[in-house]
Amino acid sequence: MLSSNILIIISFSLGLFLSLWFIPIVRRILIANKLVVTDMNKINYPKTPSMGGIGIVFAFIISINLITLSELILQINYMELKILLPALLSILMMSFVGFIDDILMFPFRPLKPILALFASIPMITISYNNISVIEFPFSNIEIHMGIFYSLLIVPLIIVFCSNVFNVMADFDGLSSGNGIIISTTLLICSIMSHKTTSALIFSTLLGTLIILYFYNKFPAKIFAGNIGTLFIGSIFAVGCLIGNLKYALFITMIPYITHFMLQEIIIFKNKNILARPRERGIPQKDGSLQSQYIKSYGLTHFFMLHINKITEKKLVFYLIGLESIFCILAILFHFQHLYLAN
Amino acid sequence: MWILIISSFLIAFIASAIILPYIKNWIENKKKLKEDLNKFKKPRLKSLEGIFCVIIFITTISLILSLQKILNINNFDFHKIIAGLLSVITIALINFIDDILKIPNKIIKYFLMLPAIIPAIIIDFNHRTIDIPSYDPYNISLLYPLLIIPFTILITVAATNASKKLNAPVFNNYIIISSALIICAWLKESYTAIIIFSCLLGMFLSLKNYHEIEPKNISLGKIGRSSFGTILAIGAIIGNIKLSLLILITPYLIYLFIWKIYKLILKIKNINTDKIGAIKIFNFKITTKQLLKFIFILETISALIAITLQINRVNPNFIFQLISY
Repeated sequence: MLSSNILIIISFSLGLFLSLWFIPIVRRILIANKLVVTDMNKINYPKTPSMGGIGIVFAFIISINLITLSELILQINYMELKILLPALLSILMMSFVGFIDDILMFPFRPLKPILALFASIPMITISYNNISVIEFPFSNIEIHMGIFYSLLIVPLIIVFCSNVFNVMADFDGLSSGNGIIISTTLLICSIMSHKTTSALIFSTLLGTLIILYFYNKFPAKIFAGNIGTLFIGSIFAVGCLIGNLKYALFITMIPYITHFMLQEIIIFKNKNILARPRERGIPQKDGSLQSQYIKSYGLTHFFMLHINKITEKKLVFYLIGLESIFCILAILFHFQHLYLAN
Repeated sequence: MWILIISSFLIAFIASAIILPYIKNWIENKKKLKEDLNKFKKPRLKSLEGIFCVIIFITTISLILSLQKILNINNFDFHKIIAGLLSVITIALINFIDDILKIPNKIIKYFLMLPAIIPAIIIDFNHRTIDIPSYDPYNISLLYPLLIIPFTILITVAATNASKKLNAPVFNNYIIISSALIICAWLKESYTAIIIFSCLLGMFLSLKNYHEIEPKNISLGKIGRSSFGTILAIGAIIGNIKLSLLILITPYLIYLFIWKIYKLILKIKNINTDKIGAIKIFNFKITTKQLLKFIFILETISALIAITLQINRVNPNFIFQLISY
């Protein structure tokens, strides 16, 4: 009989090998179809294929489907199919929205969160009548939210998490690098809580992201695109809802939430919902990046304004470093929470 | 349950009627156009409307799922429909990518499509028998989920894809197919399948306005055709009316078979078949309209046979009574 840990390792390896096969193929096809975008963070503005997320989406979905089928044939019950299937549906719906945005570009910006709201319906339906309690950590306080949990909290987490991950991804290796760190953190938290379904989801994602990182790191050979970032963000949200890791998710997402809040300042100032500030900088001749704003409208601009002659590589390094600190905090917090619960 | 069925029909109908005209203009602005090979002047059509048909279908079914939870309706197979939707959206995504990026190697496409079928296998994994009319169910063990279900989906997708060679995706025929399947599912008392087919019927009735035979307005793309095929197959698997579906898609399969033979002959004669429309198969003077009318009649006959056979499964003497009458 396979143990759940072996299943997690198999799913990780499947994600790794399938994305190793798919990403170069996707890159070749994108270049052949001239679906490339200008990298605005380099002085010579090179053309780089976007939508590399296609490779990881398929590697992920095939890996999870194969694991599910083998579970059915071998009659082992580590994964809760009744929860996994709606979760996968939500993830795929988000990826679909991302791909349409990549190809056709939504004319109305808030359309993406609205469509993400529809993508959260499968998760709403499984939490409806099942979960309604929010527990406050390190205390015995519990709030019974009734149907408001599934109608408010679940869609909010999915819509917010996927879109927030999408807004800070304009630099080489940032989305894949942060994705690796966050998925590792959430995988550790899932294993600590003995939540096999969410652990399988995060381990598969981790496998795919490691390969994407090698193609996406400075200088990027491929970008993840909206399909990639929305897919990664929705997996974090859905996996944490399944594994009840909402607080760990919240802590890991603090840098993204900060970036989003800082960006909101400009929106409120301009009173124009469509005028979201760009997170990228202006490339200089010496390879450094200069912010196009005089105030820190986002974490990326904060680093560009406060660190002299920061290069794209260094900026990504600092952002990943910052994310790592919050991820360590999330693991410590989760461990303490479990320790107190026992 | 009837509230869900009627809501599914109405939401799909109204959403398609309201949203599609806007989508049409938007896609036209994005210059996603393709050639109509069956016309003498080869006009360019707006393609990829299929994406929005898939979105409308998935959104409608998702709303129905929420409605089912709110109204607490129990004779509805929630997990089967979720697994089915998962298969539909995966196949839609693969075909959308193929529409845009033109996957060069068909083996990769089919390799991607096979795991997409796995959620559909989950729907009926514990089923082990095939029902042959007038015979006892025959146990084929694991071959049923691992062979029959993928075969049902792939053959239905091949049949719906065959319609691309015609001038229009033959929405009249799609309306007949989904109506016949609603009747068959009703006879089988599979309300989950009825909801899926009523959603399709609502969408087809609404789409028909944009798919008049002459002139054709839009093209669904591979994504639209393949998704419709998958939805039909998923509904038939959930409702256990696979034989009815097979009978209903037979005209398309015959058409596909003739087309393949015709292409093979042309290949032997060293003629390039890339720019040849379906109408060229028939060397005698037949117009697109006449060809579609012919396929429409064939489809109606198939629908009648499928419904009759399904009634006969419920009432085994039905055909005998019908003949004696």
